[in-house]
Amino acid sequence: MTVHNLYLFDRNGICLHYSEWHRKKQAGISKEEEFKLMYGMLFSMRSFVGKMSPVDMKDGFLAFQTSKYKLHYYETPSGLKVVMNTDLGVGNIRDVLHQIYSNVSLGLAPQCLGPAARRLLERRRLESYLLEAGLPAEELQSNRPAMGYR
Amino acid sequence: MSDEKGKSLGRESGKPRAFTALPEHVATPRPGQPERNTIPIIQRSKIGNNCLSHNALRCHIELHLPKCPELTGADMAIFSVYVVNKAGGLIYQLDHYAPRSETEKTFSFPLDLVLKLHDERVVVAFGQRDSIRVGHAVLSINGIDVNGKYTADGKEVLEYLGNPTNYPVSIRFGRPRLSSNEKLMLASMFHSLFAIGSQLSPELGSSGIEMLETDTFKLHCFQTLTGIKFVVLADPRQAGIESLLRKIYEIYSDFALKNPFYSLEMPIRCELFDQNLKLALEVAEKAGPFGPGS
Repeated sequence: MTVHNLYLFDRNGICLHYSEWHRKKQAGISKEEEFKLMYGMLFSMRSFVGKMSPVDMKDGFLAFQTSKYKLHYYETPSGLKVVMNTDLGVGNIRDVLHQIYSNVSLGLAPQCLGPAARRLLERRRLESYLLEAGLPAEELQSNRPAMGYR
Repeated sequence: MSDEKGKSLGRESGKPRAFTALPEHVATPRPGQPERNTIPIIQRSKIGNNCLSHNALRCHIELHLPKCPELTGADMAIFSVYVVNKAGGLIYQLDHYAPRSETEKTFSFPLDLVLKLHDERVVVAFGQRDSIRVGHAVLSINGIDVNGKYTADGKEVLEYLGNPTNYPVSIRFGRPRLSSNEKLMLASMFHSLFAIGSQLSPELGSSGIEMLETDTFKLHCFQTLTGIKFVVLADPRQAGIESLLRKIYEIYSDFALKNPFYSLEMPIRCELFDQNLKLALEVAEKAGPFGPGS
């Protein structure tokens, strides 16, 4: 059970939050480019899945896996998208992603804090929730600056 | 095909044979006949059984039409097969499922659905009700098939439905079938998604997408060392797809590659490949029991 990273996108494709824990490979492009690529892939994936489906869909796209990782996807009715990459041993974590959306309130840290403090606060909240949910993102590289975008 | 299946199902479950033939005049409303506003004459639900018709004919109909694959067990659990070459071109495609949910209803003017033109099709944009859902396309009008935005006899659909003198009109709605052009496009789209999936990997040495999960189907993909992708769409609970993909690879090697008239990377038109693939799908459907760990 390893959590690699987590992306949170708003309905327009802007990355509201990004954290990573055990990421062994970077995409080889800048973070902004990577967010665009990720959002674009999910956007195409949604339309692809909607067209391929033999019957009417309810939730649509849920997850995909490659030989090394599994990407979990959750979208709220308002178009907010939560994306989490984990290892292959993780089953359906739709409810966890929903909890991250509804309880962890990423992107809602007080405005009076500076950007660095806000990122740190969000990251701590997320880690404590993931620990609770049984998906520990432990071995925190706390000496490394937290990666967060707003 | 669906009717034959339905009949045999009906017989197996000991239903009286009297139900096997539905008179044609019951199923299709006569266009000239005056009808009350949007009272369904008949609803044909071929896959979904979420049909809300209180019509007495309903039981009559459901007896000889196959139900949802999820409900009838092992029947039709593999939906389709795609073979994509290393450049992302579709070289083979097979649909292996019964017709989707379709609904026929009689409407009077004005139409209480909002229709719009989308991707060269007339689809429902607003006004979802009963089993007509947003995104369903107009498949036929008064029993005449609709191709794109025109009916088979050359009338434009939106114009025809905008004219009050054509009512009452009976329209059949359903999920639009993919055209071969769309299938080509989706295959190359998957080819790119596959590549992006491996580029965005947080782990070293990741392959592309091997399995894609949705609430209605699972897509399984196997890429050979030479770059050809075999893609199978199946019920989420269908097990044994991994071995089916290997089997399809074997069939491809035996009946397409060994065919002296087959040229690499080109569409597969080999009779033996077709036959053996269909056979393999049937074997996989029978052998692969529904299990959670599929």
